[in-house]
Amino acid sequence: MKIILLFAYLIISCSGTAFAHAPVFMLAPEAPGKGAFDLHTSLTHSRKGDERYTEAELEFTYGISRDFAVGFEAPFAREEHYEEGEEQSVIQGIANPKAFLQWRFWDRDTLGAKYSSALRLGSTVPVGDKSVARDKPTLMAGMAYGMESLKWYYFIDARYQYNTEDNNSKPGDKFFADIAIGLRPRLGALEDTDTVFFLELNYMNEQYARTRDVNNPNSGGDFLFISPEILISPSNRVMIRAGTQIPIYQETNGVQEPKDITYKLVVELRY
Amino acid sequence: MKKVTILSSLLLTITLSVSHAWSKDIVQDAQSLKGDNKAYIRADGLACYFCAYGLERFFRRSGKVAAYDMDMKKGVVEIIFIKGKPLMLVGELHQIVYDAGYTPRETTYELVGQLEKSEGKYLFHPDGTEQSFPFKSLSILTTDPKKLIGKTVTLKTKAEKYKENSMLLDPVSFTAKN
Repeated sequence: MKIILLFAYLIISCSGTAFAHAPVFMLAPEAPGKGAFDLHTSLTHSRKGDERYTEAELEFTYGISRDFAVGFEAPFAREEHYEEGEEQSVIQGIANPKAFLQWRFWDRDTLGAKYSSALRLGSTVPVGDKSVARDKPTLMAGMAYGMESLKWYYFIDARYQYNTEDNNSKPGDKFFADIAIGLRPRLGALEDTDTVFFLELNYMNEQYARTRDVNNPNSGGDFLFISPEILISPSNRVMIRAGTQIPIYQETNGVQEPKDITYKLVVELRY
Repeated sequence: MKKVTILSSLLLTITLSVSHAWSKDIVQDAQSLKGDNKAYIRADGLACYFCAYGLERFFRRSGKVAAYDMDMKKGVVEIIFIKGKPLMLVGELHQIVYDAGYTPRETTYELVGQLEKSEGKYLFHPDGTEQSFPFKSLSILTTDPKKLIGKTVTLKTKAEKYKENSMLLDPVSFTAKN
């Protein structure tokens, strides 16, 4: 029964990574196609003050139909804390897995270009190691629109991440809005290496974290990042995506350490 | 800094390791399996080879395709069929393109085979298959079709869906082989 419930939960829920020529830090309205099976391996590393956070994820995506895809991510998380005069402390473990459903509800094809829009629903499943994982799910809903062509790409998206309350504690909900533009400098032949450069602008609003219905004054804020990226496809079954998210504006509430650069590397194999 | 240098070197190496081929073989021993029969389908929405891997997966699964290529600027996918296997019909090709996430448009075939006459109608029988297809029109021919019966010809033709398991040929050119 538990397995059935878990499966049902996975089907109706979701999270955040991507497909094919999707930018690294945002959603893209893509679908892998009927029967397509993608395997993504990603590594994310970020810093904030004395904390370092590293997450390695394995994501499976399956194309149920031309326009519907389901996915499942299994993350391994490692948190490192450094404090002056104290020893480094490290906690690590399997974080909450994430599952998502993506529906490309509109698309228009022209010669050498595709315009599309998609909706994504996702959730974490609170079965991870409690040292790094919350005890309650985090839900996400997002929508993306974009254009892919032989030379240019552009994408926009908006996402909302809702954190459910966990033992009277609730991390702040997050709203994301992103825009990206991409350029393929040279279109090669079928088995040539294909390279696309992207530049993303990412906005994030984080609400106050709450404990027993009281806002934490030193939490939340508004953030703006710029993210240069490179996408390399050495064959038509493999895609390597690498990006750096650099904070360019931070308006934090109260007293908080500023966010630092985030690095992300994704290797995607298509079956 | 060291990590960044290693990562940059890796990415640069991959970027520079460019291979080049005119078509991609998708079966073992493709060179000896490639037949003379080909199809060309225009697929709108094709914007990158990685995204179009979905097409290759269906071609592999069909067991009828030896190799394929794509001309992205023209949006055309070239399919080279395996000798001795039935051709993929226009309806099958359109379904594959649709399921992979694109929009199928005009489909043409380049076929080598013979003209036949059955029950008063001319048919085209591609070599190495047990299939025969009717014509929508033979007005392109300047000679009497009877004279081509039994001769091996190369036929370039548009194709459209016809009944359950067939397609209707609309010839663009006939070239008689010696």
